[in-house]
Amino acid sequence: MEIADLSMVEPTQSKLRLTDLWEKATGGGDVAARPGSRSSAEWPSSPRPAGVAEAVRWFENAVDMAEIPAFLFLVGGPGAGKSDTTSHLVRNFKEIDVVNDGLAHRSYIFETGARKLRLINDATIDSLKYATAPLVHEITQAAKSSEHFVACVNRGVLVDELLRVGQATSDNQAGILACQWLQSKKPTIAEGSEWQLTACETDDADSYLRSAELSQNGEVRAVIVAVFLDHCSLLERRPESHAVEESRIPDTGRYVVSPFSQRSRIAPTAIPAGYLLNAVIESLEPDAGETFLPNHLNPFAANLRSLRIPRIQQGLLSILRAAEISSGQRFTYREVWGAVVRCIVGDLPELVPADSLKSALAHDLNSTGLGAENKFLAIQKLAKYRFSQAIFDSGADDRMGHLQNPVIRMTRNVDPLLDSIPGDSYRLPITGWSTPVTSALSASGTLGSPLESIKQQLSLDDPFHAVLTDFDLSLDDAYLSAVQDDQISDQIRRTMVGWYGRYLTRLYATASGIPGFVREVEAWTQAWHLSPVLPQKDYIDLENSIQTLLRPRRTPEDPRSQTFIPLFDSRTDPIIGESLHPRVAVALGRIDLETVKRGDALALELVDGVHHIASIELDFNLIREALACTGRQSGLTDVSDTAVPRLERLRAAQLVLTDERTLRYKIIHNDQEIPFALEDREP
Amino acid sequence: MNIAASRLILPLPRPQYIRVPEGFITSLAWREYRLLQISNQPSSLLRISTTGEIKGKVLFRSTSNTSKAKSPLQTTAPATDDAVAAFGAALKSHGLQSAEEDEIIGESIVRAISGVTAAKGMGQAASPMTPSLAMLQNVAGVHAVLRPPNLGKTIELIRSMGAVTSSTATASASWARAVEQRSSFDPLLRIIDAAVGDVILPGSRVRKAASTDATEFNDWSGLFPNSPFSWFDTMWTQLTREDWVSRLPARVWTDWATTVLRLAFGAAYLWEAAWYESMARVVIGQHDPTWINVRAQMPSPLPWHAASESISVRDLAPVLMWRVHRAAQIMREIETWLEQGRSELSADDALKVMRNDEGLRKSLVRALGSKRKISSGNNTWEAIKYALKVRESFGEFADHYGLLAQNHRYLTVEPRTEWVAVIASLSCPEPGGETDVGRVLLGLDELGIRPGLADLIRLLEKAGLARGSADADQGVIVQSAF
Repeated sequence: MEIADLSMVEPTQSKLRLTDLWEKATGGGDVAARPGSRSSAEWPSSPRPAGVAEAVRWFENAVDMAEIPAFLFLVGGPGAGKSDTTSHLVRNFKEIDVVNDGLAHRSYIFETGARKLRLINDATIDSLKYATAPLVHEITQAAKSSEHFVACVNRGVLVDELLRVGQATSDNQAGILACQWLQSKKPTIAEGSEWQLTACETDDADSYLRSAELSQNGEVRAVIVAVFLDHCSLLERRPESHAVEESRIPDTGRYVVSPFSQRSRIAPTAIPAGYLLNAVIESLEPDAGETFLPNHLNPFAANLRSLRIPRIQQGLLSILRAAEISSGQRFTYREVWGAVVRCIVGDLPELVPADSLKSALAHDLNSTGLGAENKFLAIQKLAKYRFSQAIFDSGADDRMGHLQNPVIRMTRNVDPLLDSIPGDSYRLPITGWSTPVTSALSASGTLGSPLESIKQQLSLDDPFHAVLTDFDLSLDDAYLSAVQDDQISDQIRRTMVGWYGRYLTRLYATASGIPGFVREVEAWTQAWHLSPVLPQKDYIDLENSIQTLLRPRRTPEDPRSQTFIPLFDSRTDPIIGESLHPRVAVALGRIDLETVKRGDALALELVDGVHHIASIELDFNLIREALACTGRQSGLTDVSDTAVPRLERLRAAQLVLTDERTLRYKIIHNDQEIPFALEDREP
Repeated sequence: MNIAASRLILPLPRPQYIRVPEGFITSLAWREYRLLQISNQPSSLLRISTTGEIKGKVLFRSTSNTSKAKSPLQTTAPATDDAVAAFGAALKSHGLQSAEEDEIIGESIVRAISGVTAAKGMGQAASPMTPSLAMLQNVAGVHAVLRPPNLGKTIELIRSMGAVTSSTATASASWARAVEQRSSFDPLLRIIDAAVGDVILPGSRVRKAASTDATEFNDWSGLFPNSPFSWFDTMWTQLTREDWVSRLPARVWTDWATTVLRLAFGAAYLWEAAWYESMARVVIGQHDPTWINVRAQMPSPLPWHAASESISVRDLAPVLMWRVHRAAQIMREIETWLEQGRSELSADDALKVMRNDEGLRKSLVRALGSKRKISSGNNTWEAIKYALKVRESFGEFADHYGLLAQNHRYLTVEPRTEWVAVIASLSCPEPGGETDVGRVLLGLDELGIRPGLADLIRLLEKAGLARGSADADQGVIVQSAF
């Protein structure tokens, strides 16, 4: 079998109806599907997460050769594609000791020829055999019995196992070692013990695919491969795998984060989530969106029409990638499905059963009265299903609705409404972009068509032209009729203008792939790309911004001014400006900054001359805080209370006396900086 | 289990409100050190008792007018320009080299050593970063009463009750070793300590011989695993260890030590209240009246409601205050009952006899339903509340280490950022280390605090110590703050 085949989930042949999507809206079962369940084959294909195809191929070869037992761990959260992979893996093996009760079980056993294969399909299900730390015992048991072993685990399970396992014995040593290795923890079992785990030469603790050998008294008892399914973003290019000898442990390509401003060069289908989006759209019946409503009032048909256009797909995928960067988390396939379904039918699957869709929509459409205002209100209700609205709004009025939906929880942080920067045209990441929309709504907002006004201001190749559909034109007509109606009050008119402004802002920004905080998103991807150096371009000078955050000068505008932090204060707020009372402070020295890539994350390393001071995650909040600095002055953002404590601790770490570090003491009083020294008297 | 019935009554003395958080370390300092009157000491209004302690109620600074009180509060912070200058001169004489005027030097250090401001302007302690700084107030001063409870002894007792074995060093000795270690590598603190000893303290500081009263509680060791007592023993051993002392800046280490002491103290008395309530319920209820069941049926000592609940649901004041009052009544009933020749029984036998004593059962039912406040309950509740809640929220001398917040009449769990940093960091095996949310939760569970996973992760993320992951659950990695 070719790797290319393995890398894809088997595609479906039949076309989907719109209501079929209800099944794939965000959610899913609490437990993994039974292996052999064929439900996955009924859905559009999607590339498997990085490393999975290579690992599966390795495992199948190892089973064929039957020399040494093969252990495969699939690590990731729910919806990452673990059970889908195991289903593929065991498709040709015969299950033994079958229990036909229709329920999903923790483990299954298969005959593979020379050895049995023990599959732990869902390690979150309790074991009937082991009361505590079952996985640890199951791994050890498989190693002792020379069985092949496959386990789907999440990080929570690994932690829980090690918390509860207790003392190491010969019944759990192998399992403890494997779980510690999977968590990149130092082994607690001494060398010379019965069981040992040795990482393979090529093993990199920060890779999406890792390998090791498990030995008993010096004899190799199993070869282990682990795939971390959520290590690489499904919204970046999938790392290319290299051709390898069949028996060897797989060698994989490097994962690369693209600079955000260069994403428009990537074809949507070149990234896994884009491939799935495209496949879903193509798998729907040609008239899937047109079933329930007339075309000009049909947001679903409008969504499908917009999302068939590759440029619009690119824009949407960029928004989702920005959501990942801002939250520091990655979408699993389950969440990508959730986002795709949301972009086609909004939050309807959460509100209306699939078989009641038609009547619910008819009720919505007919429940409003006559007149321009009511006509607008009716179409406004439908507009919440437009993809550019649905991807940011839960639709629910309550705050908790936003927090509970796993897609919205991430995308709401990059809602373009949070940060619509004024500017005429979108040229990443220097200029603003929202002026065409705001000017269309300000002067002529109630006189002429805002949609036409925006179109006239944009170049002909702007994606906004492409995203517009009959639905948007109908909405624009309804809006114009309503705001020009003398019967409505100014307050209602203002509400309409405000809502429509927000609608157009999101539609325009989503089509172009402009998330909220686009400059910060660009800065983060640039920092990843340039690592270990921080970007120092004029418009994204992260090096100087972070230096300002860490070491704000007492007199910001004076380049000779130093940074002073109070010596014995509970928190290390730097002293800025004059100090009415004399305060004991320490002058901070120079700090060199560099970054280290850790998968899809970045760590910021602080070095004091030659000595390492500290390491912190260079996350989105820290970037936002840094870019809020202007002219060597710290800024303030809504995430300051998250970023500032970390910065303070970094400063405080420099107050610690070590053999290499002496402190430069000062008394800060009024505008003076009075040095003092300490006579070296031994205690 | 062969545990004596007398162990049903916990040995914690009745506490009183402690006006400044630094009071906890101060109480330990006075267990380890005393003052000797010396002839050439500058004249001071402060007097030394025969036991080597400062007489009266003493605090570093006071902002309340107590001059008309029968025993006015005395303060130790240099109050006049001359006194500040003399302190500055003493700093210089011990090795602080500067051309600046003595008064400016003195004032800058006086400000630097000032601790947290108590809400409602009650006063301010010196931050106890060295033994002399800790002795700039006394236990009477931090309690604001002339005859205060023996706070230091209470802390030792909490540690003894949590120690796995009886050989652990005393809490005060561990603290003294830690500050002496710091003194050995921090010349500025050495100078400050010496100058405070010279011109502010009314006598010369000497180390006491090893105290013996702590050992009298050793037979409580090992009785209460997985409790605030065991939590304190683990945390105090860890924090006073050499690696943590050398890794944390002086003020941060002192603040962390104070936080651990505040928490252990507050949680120990909340745990005690839950213990007595459980005991009464077991005696009058359906469960087998055994020591194990008293422990198993304990209510959550400090309920932590989800942040998404309304403030009235999250309000702890009514639940905990009434529990503390009820517990005080239950304790009195059972103590009196045991004193009637029953303390020689085993705990399990005593509980069985209690179950059959109709009179006691009626008293316990009355106590459990009581809405009567009693004075020892008041004192205990005030002591718990002020140990755990945020003192001053803003400003240079703000309290960043509180757990509870008072919003008008509501008292809710709202940990300050640095409280989270302490809890998370001390869950790590060593400074600069890592742990996971599961272990942080286990530590909090020992304290009697059970936050929801999502709430805890949110707090850790806000403090910049953790980053969530879709599948991590308890496996979210938590980093030590230092």
